[in-house]
Amino acid sequence: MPMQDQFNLQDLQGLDPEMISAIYDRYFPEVYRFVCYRLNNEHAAEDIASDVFIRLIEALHASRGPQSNLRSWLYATASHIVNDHLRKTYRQPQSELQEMIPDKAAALDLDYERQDVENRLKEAMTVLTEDQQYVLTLRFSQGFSLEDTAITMNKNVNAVKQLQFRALSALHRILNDRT
Amino acid sequence: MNENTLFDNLEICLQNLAKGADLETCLKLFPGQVDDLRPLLIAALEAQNAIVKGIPEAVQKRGKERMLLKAAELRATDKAVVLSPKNNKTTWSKERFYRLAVIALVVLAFLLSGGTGLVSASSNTLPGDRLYPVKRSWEGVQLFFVVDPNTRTTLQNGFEQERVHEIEELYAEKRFEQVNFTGVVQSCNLNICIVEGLQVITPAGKTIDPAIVAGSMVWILGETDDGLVEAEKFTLISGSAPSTSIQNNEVPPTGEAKEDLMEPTESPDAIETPEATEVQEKNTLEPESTLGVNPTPEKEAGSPTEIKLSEQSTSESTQENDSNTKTTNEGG
Repeated sequence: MPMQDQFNLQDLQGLDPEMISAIYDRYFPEVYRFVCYRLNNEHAAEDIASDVFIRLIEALHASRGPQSNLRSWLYATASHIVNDHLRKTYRQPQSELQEMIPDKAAALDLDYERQDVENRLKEAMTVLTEDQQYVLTLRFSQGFSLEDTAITMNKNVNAVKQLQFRALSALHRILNDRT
Repeated sequence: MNENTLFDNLEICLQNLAKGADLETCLKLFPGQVDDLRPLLIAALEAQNAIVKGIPEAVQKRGKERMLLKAAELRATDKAVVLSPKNNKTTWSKERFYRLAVIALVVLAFLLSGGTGLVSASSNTLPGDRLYPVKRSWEGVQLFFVVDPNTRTTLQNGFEQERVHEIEELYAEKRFEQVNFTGVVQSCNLNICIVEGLQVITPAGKTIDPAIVAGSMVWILGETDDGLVEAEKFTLISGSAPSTSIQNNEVPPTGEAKEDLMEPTESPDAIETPEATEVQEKNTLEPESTLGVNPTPEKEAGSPTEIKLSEQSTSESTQENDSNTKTTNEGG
């Protein structure tokens, strides 16, 4: 998947509707998938993905938007908002934690077994560190190469290799513990 | 096992899985690491299963509308700024300069008005009030800037009078506050002195230094107590010839513990012998040992050197008067 943006970031400051629409159409699906992969709540995922683009135009308007890599900026922002959301959710009372628990009713409409696997995975993912969740999401949900993941996470390739190794080890351990 | 190799081999297996290879085929590539790689690859396959396939069109549409609305709002605010006639680079920098200048003036005005306001508010304060230190500091500032010695003396006298008025007001309000002031002793008797019309007493069992006589300039630190000042420190700034009221002092027979502020009670013999008088005077002449406190900065006349000189000139007459007292006592 190419990491180069075909948009001139300097031209975006004017918030031209056509340009920002093009950016939205290009990146919203990726961002939405990224957020959905880490959350078990589609409504929250929609809000967060939308917030990422609101933050982008606010940042562009204030001349403090992405300087070189729009895509990395979007992922980093999405990751921060998701982390904040998860932290808030953990601090909420039990009733608020429902969104972390798989939606059983929704599972009836889908392949139950597949839904169950997905829910188990998302629950297990929440136990991982933020960086571990980030690397697994980029690699397995977004299909990023090792190099693209390293650029997006602002790390070197070897660090990402180690991080994904530890993330997969932890994930396997958590999934085994829960079965 | 080399961990780096394991990380690299895991990456190779992941790439093969992504291309559609099955798990066992991948593991066959690294037979020595099957046990290490298998759980990781199983976890990776599970992670791949949770991929979100499609995005509801309505979701995408709602997000886009929201973003475009926000962008329109921001553009509108920009337009309002652009339409402003002053909005060009030159006027912006001018405007910025004027704004800074106005802010600076406002801050300056605030500081000045706040400062003078504070001083004027403190002018009627009494010892123990919160703004009283401001009043005293302002007096210090005034003295600092006065060069002419006559004006300075007048100002100092005015401040001394102010201290006396303050104490009188404290009496009127029946307040017990710590005060300090400088003044001329009008009369002294054992443990009571009249200084600038105010009664000053020493704590029980202590008498006033015989060197302090009528006409002496003293600095007093004490506490107002129902119409009088109970002195904690009674410091001689500059003295004059001892008066008979001091020499006729009756010294209490009890020998109290020696205290450096006030002269301790002594036996009559100690006063009568010239050696004892010398020792006593020596104690009086050294401000630190006798008084413990330097005179207030308001009174420069009371520098230690001046004290010494004035005391030396009076010591002879003190001896003389002591012998007179002896004669009187013998005669009586």
